[in-house]
Amino acid sequence: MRKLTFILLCVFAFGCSRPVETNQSLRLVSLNIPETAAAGGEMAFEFHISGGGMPVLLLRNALGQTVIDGKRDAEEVIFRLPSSFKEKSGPCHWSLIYGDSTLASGVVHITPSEIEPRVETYLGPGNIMAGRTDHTILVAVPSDVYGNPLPDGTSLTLRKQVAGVLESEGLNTNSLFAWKRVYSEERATRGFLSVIAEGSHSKELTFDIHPAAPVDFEISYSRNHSYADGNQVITFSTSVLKDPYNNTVSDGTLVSFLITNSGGKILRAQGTTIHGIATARMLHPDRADQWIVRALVEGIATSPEIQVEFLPVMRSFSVKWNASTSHLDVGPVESFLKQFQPDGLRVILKVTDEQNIPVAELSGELSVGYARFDLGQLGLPSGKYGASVEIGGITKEIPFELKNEELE
Amino acid sequence: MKNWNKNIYRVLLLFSFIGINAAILFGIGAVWVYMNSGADKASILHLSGETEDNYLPDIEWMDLENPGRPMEPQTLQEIEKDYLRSWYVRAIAFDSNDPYGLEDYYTDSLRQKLATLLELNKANGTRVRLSTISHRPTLEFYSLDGKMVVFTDEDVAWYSEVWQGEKRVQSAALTSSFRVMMLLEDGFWRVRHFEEVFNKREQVILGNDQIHFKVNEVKGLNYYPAKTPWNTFGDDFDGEVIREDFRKIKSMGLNTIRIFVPYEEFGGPRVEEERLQRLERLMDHAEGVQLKVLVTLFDFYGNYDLLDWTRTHRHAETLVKALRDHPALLGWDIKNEPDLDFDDRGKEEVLAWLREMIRQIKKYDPDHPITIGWSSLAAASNLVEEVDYISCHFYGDPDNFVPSYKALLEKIGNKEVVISEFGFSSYSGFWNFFTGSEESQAANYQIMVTALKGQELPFLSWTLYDFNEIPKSVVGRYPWRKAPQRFYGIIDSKGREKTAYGVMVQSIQK
Repeated sequence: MRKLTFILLCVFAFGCSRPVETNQSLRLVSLNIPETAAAGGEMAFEFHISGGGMPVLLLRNALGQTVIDGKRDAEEVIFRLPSSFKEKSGPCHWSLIYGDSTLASGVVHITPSEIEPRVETYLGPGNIMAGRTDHTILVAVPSDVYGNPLPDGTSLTLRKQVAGVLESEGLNTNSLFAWKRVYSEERATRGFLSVIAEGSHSKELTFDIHPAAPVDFEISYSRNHSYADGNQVITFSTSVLKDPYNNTVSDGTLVSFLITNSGGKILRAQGTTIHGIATARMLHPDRADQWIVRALVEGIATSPEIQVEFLPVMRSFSVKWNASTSHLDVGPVESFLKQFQPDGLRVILKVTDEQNIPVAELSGELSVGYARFDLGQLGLPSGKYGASVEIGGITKEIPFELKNEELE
Repeated sequence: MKNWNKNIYRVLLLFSFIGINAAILFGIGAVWVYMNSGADKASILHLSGETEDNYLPDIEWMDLENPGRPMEPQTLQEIEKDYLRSWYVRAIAFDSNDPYGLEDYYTDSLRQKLATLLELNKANGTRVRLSTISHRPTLEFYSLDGKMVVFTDEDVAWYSEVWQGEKRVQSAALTSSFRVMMLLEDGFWRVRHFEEVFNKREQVILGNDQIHFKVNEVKGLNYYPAKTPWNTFGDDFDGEVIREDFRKIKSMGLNTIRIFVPYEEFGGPRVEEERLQRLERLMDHAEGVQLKVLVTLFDFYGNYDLLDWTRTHRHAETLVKALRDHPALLGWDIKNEPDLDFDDRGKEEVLAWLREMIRQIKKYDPDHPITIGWSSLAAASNLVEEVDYISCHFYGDPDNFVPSYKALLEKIGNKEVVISEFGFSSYSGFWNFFTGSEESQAANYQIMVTALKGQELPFLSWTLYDFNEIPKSVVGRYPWRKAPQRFYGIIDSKGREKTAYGVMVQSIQK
């Protein structure tokens, strides 16, 4: 029991004692460290030291720092670099540290590996305009198998195929990367690029050359007849819109048609191009009119003006006053073939009293050539009135007398 | 008697009943409050809060000319923000050996490399702490589609500490250049390539030989207004009071005051304009009576953490740039008594922070002398090389002053010394067994000023006024600490000059 206590006490005492002061007489005798090395290779730092103790090696590269332990064999200490350091190109700073003192320090320049180079490429913008001014930029970053960028001056080969023409040229890297402006051709087409470093492969890079802005164009119209019946539709269409290099503009280019009528009012219709042609439709006016039409791709291209004439559909129509029922009957209204004017044409009736002061305004539509207004419903006092009926720009006036018995 | 007992029982019963009920009600109340506190309704919306950047190294773009595409100011701001954050998340990752957050600022391939390194460090028990101090990037290339940028960050000044377990293997102030390629991916500028550009440029350490002011002329005191001690620049700031005080100080024959700029109160990294204006007004008043002002920065600051450095640098930058041309400025005292933080924060951490802060301030103001107000003569042997003159405090027995000073002189070579605080309390009361008195204060002053004169030492005494209130952040909340602290003035709280006042004035004017 006593022995056990003694042993326990001893263990306790040792446990409590301060660690033995390390031998401060550690001295660096010589070292064997390469000045440069290729990334990925086995890398070992050898130091010859005298005295006891074990120094540590502090490593620092662009990405970070670490402390590694070495293996001591008699007076030789060897540190093997972990992959994070031996595979990263660039300066690798090291310090051999023992206790609080730095025994030695230096830099190893690690060069990128030469096996399996690869090229990272960035091409943008991917869509450019035809003509020889717009361009896209190709950036190529060649790196080694560990992702280290290859040194400045690495030569790359750029291959380009645009519009059936194959070209090839050399590029040199500078500060991590090589870059090249790739200009567009006059033809709207797709371009293909590839960049390779010696011994590498490339992915396919493409960019689209789109037609440039359209130049001025022509417009035309088509319609079923030239009468202003307010019923048929006139269709305007452009010629094929082309850019200066004779490429048909991209589908969906917006074209606005501006129509100025003889009253100076502007009507507007829009259409988008398909295969270069934009069309827009407009209802015929309901009275004789003359339109001046112009189309434009806003801010970019325009067409010359064209004139469109609309003929009147009727010369005259009759209006009858039916005093017994207080109805005003309009019609028959006949059109250019003596047929009834199509349904839906607007009829406007204005009623004035004896002093020619307007008292009522009604509107109706033609139905099978006729329109009828019930003036008894207006609740006007009895007396003499004038009615003026307007259809398609033609006006008829008749006087009538209202005898409103119910009111008296 | 029996009746008495009964009554006592009744009272006890009644009170215990009330007590238990009160306790239950309090408990329910606490639960109720707990249940009703916490997330407020706005949190449903997941609004992103105002995030304040904690990493604020000095950054300035040198050249934006590049063959690719003109750099837009907004994009530049975004690149700068994400680049600095990439450093910040990396610093945090290496500190904790946890790759959290790296994916937002590094592309996949680089992130994997960093993760491998972090795993290695985790396995080895290595921890790396780092902070960059200044960046001077030059734009090399900005791609036409605005999605890639390459720049060289020349001469990045940074600081790093490598720890293995609890042992610091190395701490180093470094200057390195890096070439960086960043890609715009889903709204983040991420670092794709990060390469060190090797340059053997030696670090330029600023010389200390540009001091104009003769520090040995300093005669003055530490100044706080009587009504607002330790809160000179708060809302009770009164320019008139300060002007009157300064006239009084001048009339005593003094030429310098030492003031304190509290770090947090001034807004930390984003210095509050209003406080700065008050500080400038104080300096103007000092200039009005030809007093010099020794500005003590970072009062009540106590973090020193490497990741907090850049914040303190921005604080110093704003203040130094604002005051460096002020004619009343005597110089900079980096921090009051930083040696008192050695135990809590680690001596090396505090010294490293101070060293870098000296460099920072020298960068913005190479002309004014810089010092550190050590709490004792013994502590003043730290950073002797870095400071322009030595500043230390003495609160001991005045008879011991000369021997302590002689001991210091042996360690500091021929640097000049300013005793930037000394003083004696006239407190007489319970906590010192009524041993103090105005007479004993005056007697101590007498010994001290004679000693200072004998050694031809410049000095700043503590302090002008007695104070009614001492904030607990100054000496803690114990009354035996607070009470004496109130009576260090040479003018009492009623405005009467104490005996020590006469001693002081006589000594100066002699």
